[in-house]
Amino acid sequence: MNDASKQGFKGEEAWLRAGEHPGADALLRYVAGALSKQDSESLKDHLALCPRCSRLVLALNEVQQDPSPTEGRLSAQELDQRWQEFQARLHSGHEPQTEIGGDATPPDQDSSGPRLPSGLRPLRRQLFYARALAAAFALTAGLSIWIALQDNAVNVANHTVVTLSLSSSVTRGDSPGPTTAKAGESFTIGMTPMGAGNFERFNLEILDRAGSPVDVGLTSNEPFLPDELGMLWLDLETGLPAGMYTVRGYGISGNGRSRTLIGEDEFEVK
Amino acid sequence: MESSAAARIVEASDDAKTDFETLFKHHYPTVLRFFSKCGCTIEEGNDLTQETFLRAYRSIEAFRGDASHKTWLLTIAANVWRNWLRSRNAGKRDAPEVSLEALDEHRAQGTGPRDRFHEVPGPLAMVLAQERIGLLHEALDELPPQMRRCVMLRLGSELKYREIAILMELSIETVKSQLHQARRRLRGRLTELLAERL
Repeated sequence: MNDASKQGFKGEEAWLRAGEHPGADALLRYVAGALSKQDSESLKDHLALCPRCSRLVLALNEVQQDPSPTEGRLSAQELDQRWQEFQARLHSGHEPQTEIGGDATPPDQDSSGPRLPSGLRPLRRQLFYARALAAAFALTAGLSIWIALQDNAVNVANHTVVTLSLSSSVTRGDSPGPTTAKAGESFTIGMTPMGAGNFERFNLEILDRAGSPVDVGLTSNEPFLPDELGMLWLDLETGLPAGMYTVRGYGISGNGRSRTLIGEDEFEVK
Repeated sequence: MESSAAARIVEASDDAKTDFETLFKHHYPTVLRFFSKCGCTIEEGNDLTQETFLRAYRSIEAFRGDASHKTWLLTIAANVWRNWLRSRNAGKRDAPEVSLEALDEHRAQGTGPRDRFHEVPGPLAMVLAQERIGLLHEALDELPPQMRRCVMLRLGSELKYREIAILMELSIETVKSQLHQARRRLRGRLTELLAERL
């Protein structure tokens, strides 16, 4: 999404306030980076709660970002056939499902369910709450599992998370995330052990600039297992002095008998 | 009237003019791909793409040229998809009815659909679940907005990191960091909240 000229969109503020589904044109403006910052933030709040609009934005982003993909390309003959089918539909008097969309059509105000008969419309609110309660139950269950998978409680303040990559195919990772922490303050190193699925567990070690191991309370037998997000996490509660450091990852196999260097990456403490 | 409309000239670019057939053949793969990305099968995608062009054809007069043809067609396609989902969900509610006697027979034989009546939680379970939901909402509300959205998209919508990154305009690494920090904060906060209630 680019930073094209940001502008508001008239007539859409209502759904932002009411929490209804945004119109397709608003989603397309978001994908194009043409919404104001305020509207973008409101839309992000909606997307976080609405799988349907999220799916739409991802699909729109996909086709907008890659204008001429090889995937799904049709031959001239196939296009001719589709055109014939279209003409047959047109002349058979096929009626669209609902009102025509696009420039002339206001966005769907409630696409979350079928239109109720007038006698049952008062039940719409109850139906909404029933759905919301069901979603909350599902979310509670998911979060409980997610949180339970982390077994040691750590009191966190606003400390730094350094994210690095460890690659088995490239000796030195490409450090896609921030790689700087503050001297003397606790921080966390998060690493993705790419291509290292054959190991039983992992060891990590930190070296200073001279290549000497830094004592951060780790033992050589300390096991590290990827969490359910596929990452290894190393919490350094006491922090480190300023300087450049290297973190090395080892894959352990053969019931702990074999240790293989799977990669290393650098980070800086300022 | 329709045949003359089929040959109607529409603006395709700054200079060039072409007819609806050209527009159709030029954008058909894009619209089809959009429906595929929305999770439709090839058959469904073709049907909805035809529907999209049918609507476009019938509303060509309303096309003001404010946006490109592609944007206009995708706007229509998005509405077609939403309406299709709506009608499909309505169809599911019209599923065939099963008599209670038939359910009893199935239960005795260990076959057939599961009896949903037996899965309803008791009053105590409902109260506890509601309390957990309350605590969870309290803890979630205290997270920074970006962190909260990442959690909701990961757990509520079950999206991948890459998808969350696209939706929230973040890098994948930032998404991972946000989720890691969110988990730590939620665990700590929920522990506190539960302790306060003991």
